[in-house]
Amino acid sequence: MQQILPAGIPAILLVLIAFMVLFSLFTLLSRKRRIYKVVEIAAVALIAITSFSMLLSGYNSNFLYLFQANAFSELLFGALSIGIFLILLISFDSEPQAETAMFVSFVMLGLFMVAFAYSIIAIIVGLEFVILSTVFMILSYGKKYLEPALKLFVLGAISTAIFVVALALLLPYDSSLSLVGIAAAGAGKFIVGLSLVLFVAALSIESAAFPFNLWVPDVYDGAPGNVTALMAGINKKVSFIAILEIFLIVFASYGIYGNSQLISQAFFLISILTMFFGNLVALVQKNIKRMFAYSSISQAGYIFIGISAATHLGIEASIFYIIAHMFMIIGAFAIVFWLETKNIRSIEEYAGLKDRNAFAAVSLTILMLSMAGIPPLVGFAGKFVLFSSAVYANDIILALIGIANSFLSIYYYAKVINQMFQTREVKRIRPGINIIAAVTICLIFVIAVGIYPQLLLGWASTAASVLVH
Amino acid sequence: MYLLYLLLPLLLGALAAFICSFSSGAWRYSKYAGLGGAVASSLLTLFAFLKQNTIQLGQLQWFTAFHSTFAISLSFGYINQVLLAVVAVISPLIFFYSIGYMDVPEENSRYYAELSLFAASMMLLAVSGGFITLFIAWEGLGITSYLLIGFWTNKDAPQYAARKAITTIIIGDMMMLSGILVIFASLNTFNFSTMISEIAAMSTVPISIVAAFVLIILGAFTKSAQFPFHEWLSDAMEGPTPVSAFLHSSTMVKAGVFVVALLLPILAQLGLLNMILVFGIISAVIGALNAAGSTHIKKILAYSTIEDLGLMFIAIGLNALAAAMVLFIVQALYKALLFMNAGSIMKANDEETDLYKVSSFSKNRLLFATALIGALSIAGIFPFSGFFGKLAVDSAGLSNSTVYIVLIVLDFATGFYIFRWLFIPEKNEKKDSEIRLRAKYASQPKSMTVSQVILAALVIFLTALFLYTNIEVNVGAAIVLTAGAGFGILSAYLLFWRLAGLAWERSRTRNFLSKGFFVNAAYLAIAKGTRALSTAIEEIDYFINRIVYLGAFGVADLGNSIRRSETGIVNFYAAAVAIGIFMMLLLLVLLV
Repeated sequence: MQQILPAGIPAILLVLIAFMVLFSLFTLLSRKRRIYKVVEIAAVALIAITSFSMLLSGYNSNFLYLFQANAFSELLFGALSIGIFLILLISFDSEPQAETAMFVSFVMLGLFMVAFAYSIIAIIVGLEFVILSTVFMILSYGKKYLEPALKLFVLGAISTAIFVVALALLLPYDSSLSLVGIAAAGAGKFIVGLSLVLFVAALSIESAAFPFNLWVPDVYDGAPGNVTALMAGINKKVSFIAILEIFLIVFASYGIYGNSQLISQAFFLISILTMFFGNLVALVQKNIKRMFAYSSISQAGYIFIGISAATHLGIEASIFYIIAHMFMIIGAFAIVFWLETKNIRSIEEYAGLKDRNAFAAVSLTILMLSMAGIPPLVGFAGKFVLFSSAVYANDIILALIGIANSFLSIYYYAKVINQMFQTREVKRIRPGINIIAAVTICLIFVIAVGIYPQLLLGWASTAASVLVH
Repeated sequence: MYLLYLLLPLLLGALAAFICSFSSGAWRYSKYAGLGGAVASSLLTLFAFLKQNTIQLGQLQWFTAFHSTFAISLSFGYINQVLLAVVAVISPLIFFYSIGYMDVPEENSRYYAELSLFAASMMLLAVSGGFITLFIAWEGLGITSYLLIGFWTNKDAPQYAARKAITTIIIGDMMMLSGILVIFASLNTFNFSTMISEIAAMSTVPISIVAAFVLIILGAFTKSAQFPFHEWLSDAMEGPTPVSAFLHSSTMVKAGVFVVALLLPILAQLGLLNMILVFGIISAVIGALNAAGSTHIKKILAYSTIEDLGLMFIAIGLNALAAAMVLFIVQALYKALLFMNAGSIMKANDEETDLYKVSSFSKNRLLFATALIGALSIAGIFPFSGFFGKLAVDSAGLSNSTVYIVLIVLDFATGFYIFRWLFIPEKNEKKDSEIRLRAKYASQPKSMTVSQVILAALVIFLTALFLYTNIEVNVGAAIVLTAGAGFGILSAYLLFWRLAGLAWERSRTRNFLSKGFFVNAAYLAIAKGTRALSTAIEEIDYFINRIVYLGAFGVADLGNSIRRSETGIVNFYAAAVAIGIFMMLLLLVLLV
């Protein structure tokens, strides 16, 4: 592999592809011309393949003073590129085509910057790219989406402001702003603690941790389904990448991270509160998108379990679950989005879905069972490793609360499943081939990795050893 | 690895049936897919028994995380063989019975797919040698049981019953998984045999491990419908009758007994047997009393299953594993048989379930004969094989006089309620449509009759097997058992045959017994509490929202309604962020 990919080329190639896609769309894409979309989807697939081939060849390098490539960035960028590929696939037919494609490319650029960040500047610019382009993407769907767009914009701005203040607190001790450089600098414990708290707050807004997540259901519910899939599948995961990078690289050498340390305690509480908030409120939801919004909040809580454990296994489990949840939620929202275009929105209207379309009912069932953590699906494997990591870190309480929550979640999933498999006199409908393809990819992942988690777990372990030694 | 192949035909059968469901005409093949899978799987099991010395019990590496390997481990020990044999014998018969019973063309494919998946989970459970394998099978059983109980989607009652069952079972799963993780954290193994030897080597066992095993026992109780988790089983009778015969009497409910039996050496060492004994006694008594009070043709059998399972736990609680296993085997046969009889009656009476409304067993001689064999077997009358199961448990009970007295009373009660079940329909008033009914009884589908006859033959054949193996019989206990059961049958005869049962049926005692001891009311209270908590959190959410909204209303421009509501809500979010930061700073000050 090393011969095929000479040093320095692949990473630059990635940037070039991203820009090429961006500008080709910006200038060339006119409405209803599908060929450009096909080209773009192919380009995203190419990017994902490049990223994974870099991972396989063990490629490591720094470039442009801003970026670095290592196993962690390559794995997460590759996986999330597949997510973006799926998003493009499900929004293939949705109007407005040009803007959707363009803003997704911007999100991709932001994702690249965060995943490959070597400097904190790259992270902050990347996060801004992701949030702002999502705001404009929502807006491009029409005036009635002003409300969710505005909410997302305001919360994004708050997040950025807090982030910058947090960064400013560290700046006097190291002006290089590189992840490794800051790590080597020394500062007073209280200043570092303050900065850390602000970083947690800033990143928790996007990653939907309690109590920074109250905006999530409103925005997820208000936005069009494919943008919701983007927010739940990609945006949230990007901020998790930022969390992993900032807390495990920057704060690692301050000795403030690690078991029984402040940050673990903070994530311990955040994890418990987020899980309970998401699951308990999801129980009483009547709208399917709000239910999935609360469910995805609780799923973020599970990811925090691994971060709180602060061990190699914990980080490995978190990375595994970040990727697993991306596939599950994008698959689910693909179906929800398609049904939304047919004006089927509330859980009650999902009654008799099996008679409308058996494929949608069966695959939504599998995806929801996976989110609930039923073996042999990927959700079970992910939660199993997460809870094991908590047990290893002597956080049995956290593991037990996690288990309790994952069983709690079965109730609202079972409610929907129960509705879907009732017999009703309804008209049959068929999804487009693009929806079927996207959902099928998600299902293959959920089942294959669920049966044989080692496929992903090995890579996650390699990626985790970049962050935790 | 060979043992995993046992599952393969069933999984293929499930897949084939599932595929059939997508084509409008293919439903008629799905039953053969299901039956074929079950028969093939049973033949493979037979082969495994014949060649058991050559079976390789390798571990299938599943995944490794950090320094631990998670593996699918298999086992073919004595207890595994017992469960495997029961499943392999019963499952083809159930599939065969279903062919006659399930005359709903459009739902057939779904039924056979779910039933095959269930049978596969059961096989996996039977060959499991470690907690990972066990838990995967355990979850599979829970889900398929949920689907099968709620099979009639056009009615409400089965949906409620299914929800109740899954709720109880999930509580059990939760306790089970918690226990497994705690054990894994302290012993670093999922494998039963390693676990047993490691704990045996300990001089003092940490309290956390004891607690973990208590959780596992409680988890086992939920699956096996023991007090206080027994109420779901009687409601589960809303499912199709072959499902009741398969899942809820002979196989799935045994999963809990199976787990406890596997872990018996550890539980004995940790001194947890008394707990099992006490819960077993309570459940057995409650089951027997409820069975005497109910008039639902299937629920009586369900309560009787609770009693049987309680008896098995009593035997295990007395550390008499062999006795529990004998009852384990014979109970599967006679209870499946009795359920099939009940199904035949219901089918001939247009799904009527009230004992006082159905017409008699004896309209079909064969049906009456098989039902009589089943009833005599469960009552514990020689020469039917149930006798040996009851006798084994009674003999084990001799070591403890209190337990033995309870067992004698239970012997009496069993004879009483099962013959009540058999006699009441005989004395029902003749209906106008007598001729039509007779025709219906006579035209019972062949597959149903044949499976009942085979099971009845097996019940008798097992006696021959027991006699052939020269088991030790405690003559005193045998006489007491026969006397107790005989007295029960006699009381039932006097009350329900001679007096046609009115005195008993109108008594306050029966009325009280049919209430189920208010366990359901306790469940409802807990459920309401949880629901209230969930709603309360949302209410608080709205309440805070409202306050902030009003605050914004005060300061913002009154005329601009859009701005008012929007900024109100976003203000609220920002306020929440600020509160969050404040709380974390508090944490920082406290910790640094």
